[in-house]
Amino acid sequence: MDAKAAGNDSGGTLQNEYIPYPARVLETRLLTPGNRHFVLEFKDRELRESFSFCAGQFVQTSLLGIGEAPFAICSPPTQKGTFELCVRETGNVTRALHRLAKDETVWVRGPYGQGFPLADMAGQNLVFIAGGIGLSPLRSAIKCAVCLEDEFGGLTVLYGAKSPDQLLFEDEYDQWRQGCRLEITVEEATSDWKGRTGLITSLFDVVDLSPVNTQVLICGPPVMFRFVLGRLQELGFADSQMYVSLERNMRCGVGKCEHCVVESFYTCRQGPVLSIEQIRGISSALR
Amino acid sequence: MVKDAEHLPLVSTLPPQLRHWLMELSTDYRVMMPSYKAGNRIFEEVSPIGLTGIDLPQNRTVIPFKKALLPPSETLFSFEAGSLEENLDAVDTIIFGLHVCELSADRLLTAVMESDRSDFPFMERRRKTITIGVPCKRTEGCFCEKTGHDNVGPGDYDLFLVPEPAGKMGGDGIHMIAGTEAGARLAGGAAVDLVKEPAEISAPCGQGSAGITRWPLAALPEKIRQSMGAVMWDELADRCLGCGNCTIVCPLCYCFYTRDETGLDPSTGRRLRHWDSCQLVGFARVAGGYNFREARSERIWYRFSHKFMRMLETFDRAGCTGCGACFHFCPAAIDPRQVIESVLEVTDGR
Repeated sequence: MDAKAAGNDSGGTLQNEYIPYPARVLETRLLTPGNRHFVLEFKDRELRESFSFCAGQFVQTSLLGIGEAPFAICSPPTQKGTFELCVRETGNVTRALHRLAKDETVWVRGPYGQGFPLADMAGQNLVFIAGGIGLSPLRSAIKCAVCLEDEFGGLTVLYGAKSPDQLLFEDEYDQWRQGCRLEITVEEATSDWKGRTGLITSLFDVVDLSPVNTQVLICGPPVMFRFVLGRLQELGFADSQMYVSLERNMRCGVGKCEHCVVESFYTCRQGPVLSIEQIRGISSALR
Repeated sequence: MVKDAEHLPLVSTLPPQLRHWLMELSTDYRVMMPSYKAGNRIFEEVSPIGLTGIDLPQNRTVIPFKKALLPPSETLFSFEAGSLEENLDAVDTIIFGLHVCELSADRLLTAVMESDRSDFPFMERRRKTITIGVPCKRTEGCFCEKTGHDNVGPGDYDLFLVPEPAGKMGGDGIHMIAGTEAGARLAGGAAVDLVKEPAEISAPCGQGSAGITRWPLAALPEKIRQSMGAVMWDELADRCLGCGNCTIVCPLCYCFYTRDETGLDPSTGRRLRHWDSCQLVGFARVAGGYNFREARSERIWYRFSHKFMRMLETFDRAGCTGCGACFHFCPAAIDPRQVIESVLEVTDGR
């Protein structure tokens, strides 16, 4: 892959990429135990209005004195003025983010990396396959596609969570179903769960997926990729029809600090969204 | 082409006129040059008083010149009561005493940092830096002729100091070549002869020498790729202590991490960036604990693949100058020459 060719942005601009900008927390709520949703707005009006991104891109989000961590933007790029993050409490930065209240400040820089090439997918059917918090970057694409319904063919969302209480953005499902087919499964059902139980791949028996004029957008834990991609390949999907969003230790966001490298590409620059065609032969990409 | 090693006097002290020139410059510039500290030769900022006892063509440095452009630790910004202040520490700097391989490394490092979305602190320092090269001599364990970092062209140095055979050009047995306008301007105050036509300069044992053996640089990326998972990396992992010394002393290693530091009042502090090492176990670990390069063998392959696969593919230059510092300062005496020879062996015929 040509490391120089990538980039949604213009290269070589003389600005300090490592300086974050303040953003106000407009709303925050706990979506599920351990997962918190934030609606943010840059304090600077000009930045607020000029900030644009693609579904699947990420931002580096800081709390001064604590540190910085990468998060995919989970709101659609069609939403202007504000943007949203879904943060799972995992480490120092996320623990501190979870303690934030409305009107407090976070520091944000970005967006970084390559998102899902939705513009190139116009006119095609889209299948979104999400596992766990992998729904977060896909929510951006799903809401965007549902909003621009006429530009795409059929929309299908397959979503698997650990348990019913881990389902993210549950209050939005009815709205999504206005524009797409949404199938959900949980690995461990509770007594009051009326939906499907099983791994994400069990949903392949529920929907009829055809590779004809269809693109698949996938995000979930690494272990999910292998099984999902295997099923899609059996159905005849080509490598160029399947996109994954990878997780790595992305720190600088601009391909300099080296932490997120996978063999020959920077996850923060050529990724995090890559087609299977792009990572063909790179064995460590999908683990 | 200038080939000067054979004429090189062992300069244990700079000629007086150069010393005075540098002393004068050091009032306007930060001057970084090799000097001795606790018995080791390192690049560091020298005060005018310290400009004695410098043996320019001698051994490699423990701490490479990169620290002038990418300090081991730097403040990216400071913060206080919710406001943020950029504190970029970039002053006019002269790096004096660079060997050909180091000038070549400077060119590559600058290309890396400038590419795509550029690294602002590095580029600001680079913009304010003037390089002055000096001739080198073959040192035990150096191999720039294998990596291709054995020559620099005009523009890769601002000035280059050339000892001359007695009787030639007059002066005090030394003259300078200006590689850039900035170099020529700077040299105006030095009482030595200045050659204004920039020249290609080669290391004494490098390009142009008889019988030099380059590694097959065009083929190396693919061979490194093919060697992934080979037993040779496990054998190296058995010897490697995972200490990260090799990355610290490498003139072409530049990875980093950032960390916030506060005082007792957590609203006041700064964000620091430090040199990191891909050889340390947590380098590719993500929040939650999953480690994408848990095995030491993978980390060693990763380092060599960065230098001999990715940098060659992206910048057409190996990320190894052949200075031999990593070998010299490796507690397990891992020799990159042997590593590359092994790669060529295990992929032979493939």
